[in-house]
Amino acid sequence: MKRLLLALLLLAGCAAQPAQPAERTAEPVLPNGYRDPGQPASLPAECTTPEGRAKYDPARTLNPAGGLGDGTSVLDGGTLAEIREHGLDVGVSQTTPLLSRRDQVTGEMEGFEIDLINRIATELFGRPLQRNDPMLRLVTMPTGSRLLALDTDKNNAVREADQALEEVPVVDMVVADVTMTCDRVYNHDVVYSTPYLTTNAGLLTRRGAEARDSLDELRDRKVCAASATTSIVDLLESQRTTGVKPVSTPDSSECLMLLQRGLVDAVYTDFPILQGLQLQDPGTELTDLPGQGGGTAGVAISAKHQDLVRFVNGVIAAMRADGSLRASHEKWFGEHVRAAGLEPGPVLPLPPIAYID
Amino acid sequence: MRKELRAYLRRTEGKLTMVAALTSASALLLGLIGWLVLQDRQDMLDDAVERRGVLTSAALDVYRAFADADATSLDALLVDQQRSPQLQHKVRENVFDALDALRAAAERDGGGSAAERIQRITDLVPQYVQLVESGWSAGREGHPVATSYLNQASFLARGKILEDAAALHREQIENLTEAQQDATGQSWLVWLLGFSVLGVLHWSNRFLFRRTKRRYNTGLIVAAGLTGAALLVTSVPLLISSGHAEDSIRNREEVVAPLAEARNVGRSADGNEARLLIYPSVGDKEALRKDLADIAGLIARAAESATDREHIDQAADATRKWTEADATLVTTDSRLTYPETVALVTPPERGKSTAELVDEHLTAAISTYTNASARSTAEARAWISGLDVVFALLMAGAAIAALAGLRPRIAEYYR
Repeated sequence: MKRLLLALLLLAGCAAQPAQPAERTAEPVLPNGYRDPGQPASLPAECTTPEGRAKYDPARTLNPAGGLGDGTSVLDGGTLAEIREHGLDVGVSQTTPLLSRRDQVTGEMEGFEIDLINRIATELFGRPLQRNDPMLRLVTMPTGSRLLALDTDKNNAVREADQALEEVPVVDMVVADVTMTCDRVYNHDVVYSTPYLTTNAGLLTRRGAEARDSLDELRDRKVCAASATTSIVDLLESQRTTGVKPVSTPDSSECLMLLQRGLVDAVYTDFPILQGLQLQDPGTELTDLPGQGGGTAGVAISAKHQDLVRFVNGVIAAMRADGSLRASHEKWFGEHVRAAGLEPGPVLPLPPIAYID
Repeated sequence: MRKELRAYLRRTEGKLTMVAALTSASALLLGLIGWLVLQDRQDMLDDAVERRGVLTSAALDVYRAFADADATSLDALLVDQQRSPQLQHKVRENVFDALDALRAAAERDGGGSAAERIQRITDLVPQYVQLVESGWSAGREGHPVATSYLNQASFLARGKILEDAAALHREQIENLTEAQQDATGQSWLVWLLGFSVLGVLHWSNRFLFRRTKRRYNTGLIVAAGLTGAALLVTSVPLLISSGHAEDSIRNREEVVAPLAEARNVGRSADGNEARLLIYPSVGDKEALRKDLADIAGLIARAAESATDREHIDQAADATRKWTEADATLVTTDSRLTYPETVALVTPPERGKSTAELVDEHLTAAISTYTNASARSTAEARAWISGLDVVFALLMAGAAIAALAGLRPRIAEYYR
């Protein structure tokens, strides 16, 4: 009997071996708005025909010397008078060092685009602006709705249709490395100033032994760009030939985060934006991709505010003529980059100034 | 042998023996079932006090700690480097407290969806901490990627951790309420069996009357009395206990639950304020407006059922001030400068922000009413202490009385 009990106990002991815990892995958390494959902006049918492209040509802009058709100067325009009385609101990005970056503690903004905005404001108010001058308000635009902040008929209709968009602040202009494209002119009823920056695309990767300096070398690897930008369109178009896997996030700064976390292998966007990202991470390598992507960036203004378009064009023309635009570019994309121990990129020439009137 | 037994049972003394066995066995069966039922009730209330109550509080603590960490982690990026470490320390304390609460919850968890939720939250903590610390580290260098890290951490906290913590809390409250109601409700099985026993005793008495012409049997009457007493002794304390349990449930559901939700929404609003500066996106202002309105509504709802309103009124007052202070922040064309906005949304160097005051008063009110709820549960438990033994003894007495009453009648046939 005792033997039987012992045998039963031994059997029970063997049966009660602790179960091996199931193997589990922590799923990486991805940003809100992350898309795989990446999300491009929708291209309106009007931008696919030669007539439509000519009508909504982003390079069509107004001559600063042009009047309002009633014999008065551009400087007497209603929008300009309103701004001089109540102040200038400019929509900016705060996460693109060298172009436009905010110190989160002091709130001060700096960068190439901020220099341009300061010059426009100085000319508008006829005096240099003080630090935190209440007449110049730099508004950080809600992601994905920058151009919606302009007071245009199309934007107003969209805002009225969607209550959530009611809180998008209304600004006089948007200066946020906005690549000049037909769909933006068509969708938002904007007029661009003459370009203040010409860019091409670049590639930011983690530094290492393996060469990753072109999209072809990133076959089957995830490459990140900001959603609804020309960069994600480029990536999606090149997917068939290069074999990359395009993914997108609402902001290019989030692409850097994903690169640092090892969740993507490269960031593809305008070279100056990538220079700003590289400054934040010395463990990355930046490759210039001449002839690929990019475009020209201009100040986006409502088509209703023609006097403001003319005024801004006048300021940009003056900055181009007196060399201050070039000097500012050199200060940020030359001196600052060199001071960080990095190689400055190529300086691409601005296209010749052309107006429609 | 079998033939003899059948012959015996056909005779009156045999039938009386059977009646005696039936009455005493039914009384003993009722005693046993009543004892088991009441013990189960006591166990349920013990479980409510010692396990589910603690689990519910732990779930609430997990939510609060992560919601607080979410709001403070964003504030830490907006203040200068002299103040930032203090806020960072607070976030680390929050995560430490959350892990403590998770541990307490895991220890008392009985498995099921709660275990899954606890595991899911625990799995995400390392990623959350890594994102926050990376964000602060980039922020110290002045790198804008800091905002992406902290926004990602906030998205993780709000989208996953807090949702699971809220669901865990909700489920535990439902379970706790159900357990309390089940433990203190009348046991219809015991009542049914009790009436059956009384029926058996009545029938036995009538049978005895038919056979012996004796109208009343003292033993059977005593047994019926003891059975009735057992039923009353059970139902009256259960009724009183149920009243205490209802008090506990009312305090928890009508006062603590809306206040706890108001506190959670308060933490969300605190975070939404900072997000307006760190990672502005469409819907932030509307979310903040809604949060502030919700806090006021939830506090007002709790106040309707509250008897001690000191902290609740203070919380309502602080919420009013907070809403007034944020009025300029949530307007579409806010004219506040950046430093003015930072001063509005981050804790002041000295004293407390209105957001912190709301949180403090709500915590005090929640604590008062949680304690009151726990006291009511303990009183409900105290009223049914020892009832199982009393019930079993009374029914054992009833069985003995029935036997004692029938024994002389059976003995008469053997003289």
